[in-house]
Amino acid sequence: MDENTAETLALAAGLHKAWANHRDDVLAALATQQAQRGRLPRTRNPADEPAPAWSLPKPEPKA
Amino acid sequence: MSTAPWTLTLAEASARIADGALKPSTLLRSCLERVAEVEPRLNACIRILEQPALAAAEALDRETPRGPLHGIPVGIKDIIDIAGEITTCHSAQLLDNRKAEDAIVVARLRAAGAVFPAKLSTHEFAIGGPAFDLPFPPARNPWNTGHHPGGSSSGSGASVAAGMFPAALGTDTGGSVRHPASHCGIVGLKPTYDLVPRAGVFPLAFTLDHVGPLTRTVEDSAIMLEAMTGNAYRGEIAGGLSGLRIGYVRNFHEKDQPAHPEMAASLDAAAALLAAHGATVRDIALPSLNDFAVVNRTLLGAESASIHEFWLREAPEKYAGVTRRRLLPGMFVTGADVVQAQRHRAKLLAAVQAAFEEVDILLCASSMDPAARIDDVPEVERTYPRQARTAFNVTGHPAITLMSGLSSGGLPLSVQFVAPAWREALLFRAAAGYEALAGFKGMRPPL
Repeated sequence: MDENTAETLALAAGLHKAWANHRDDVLAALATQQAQRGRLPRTRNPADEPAPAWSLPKPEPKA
Repeated sequence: MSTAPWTLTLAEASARIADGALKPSTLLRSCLERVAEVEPRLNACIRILEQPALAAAEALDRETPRGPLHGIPVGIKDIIDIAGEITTCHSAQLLDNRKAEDAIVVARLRAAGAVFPAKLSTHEFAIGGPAFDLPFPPARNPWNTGHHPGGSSSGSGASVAAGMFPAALGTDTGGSVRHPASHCGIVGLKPTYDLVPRAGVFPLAFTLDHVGPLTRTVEDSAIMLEAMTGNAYRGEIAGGLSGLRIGYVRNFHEKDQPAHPEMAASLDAAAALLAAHGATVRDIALPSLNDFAVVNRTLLGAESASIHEFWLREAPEKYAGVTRRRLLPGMFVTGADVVQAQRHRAKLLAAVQAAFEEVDILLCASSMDPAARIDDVPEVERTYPRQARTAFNVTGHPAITLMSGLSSGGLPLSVQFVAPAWREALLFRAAAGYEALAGFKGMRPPL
């Protein structure tokens, strides 16, 4: 990732101070997340629900 | 010959307090003498709470014992609140963070009669460590103080292994109770997700965080969990191994992250020992550790960024460098990344659930390596993610680690048992059965 793109992403994330004072850490974080994204299995099946699926509390069974 | 009270396990101390042979204040004073002796070498404590703990113990001296935790000193990881005390999270960000109330889990232990003599070292915010650029030094391994004790509940592991306290509380988001337990040769339990309340515990990642005890024996772990939850867990603990169906997860340490040969040998020896004493042991395959790890890191990154984004923007210089470097990637996780991780999490959960259709308990590695030298940053970084604990933060199943030997370098080796959700009693039965046979129960470092 080139430095201009990295700067754009860092500033979009609000990391102005970190970009100014800890630039190597921000660049390393971008590289780490990019690599992690590449390793994350991604499904194309719309039926695959996330866990935990969102659900409302279920009513208590009646006695 | 008299035995110094600090050498007693929780159950042994509890029995002596129950029959009047030991007073809570005598036990606490012995533990504090042990702290004074070894703490300068271990840095396990952020603050020692001698006066409030002694006052509580002396009040308990005058009471009829409430139960097995009456008068038992329990160290508290310094991301867990104690009323009236500061919770620093081992960080410069929170040096004045005095808390008005006990965390729920601390309140439950207090009600059961426990006393709290120290807030214990952690990796900063349970993620950044070992670090040497913080207001407090990192804890060290009692088996060899040149080595890392594991983390993030570093002080909890080091203090219990060294005999400062019979038990401690830690937290576990990617293995942070079981890691120090593995490296310090003690017992570390991550209960089922949401079994132990997290209110009053500084969060790292809401859907992965667990609170668990570190102790010297499996029985002590069960006693702690009973007080932490109000449930009974010791009914099956002496049930032995006969009839247990154990699935040995070899792919974790043979294929996914090949273990140090001594660690691999100790796992094989554990499987053989279990099989020789009544358990049915068979190989079982689970998804790759690397799949569990990337789901954990994606979710941990996003969830922790939601907690730390303000400090990462406004005061990034107040973190240790290692903490900043571990938290910053979470600022770049996308919404789609999070939901894809949660969708894959469902598949990983289903795979582990399916395994429990075939077996009662899983046996697998905890750490793939003995503890690295604490000053060898590249080796700490290399070995830190080489572990099989994170898988069960992703799925939420209960897991326990305990000692399985010593390496040729004199450092603890470990195994991990995993049970179906909410089946902690079964988990304790399997672990206690192994512990009784393996020969390392209560082994202490030569400190």
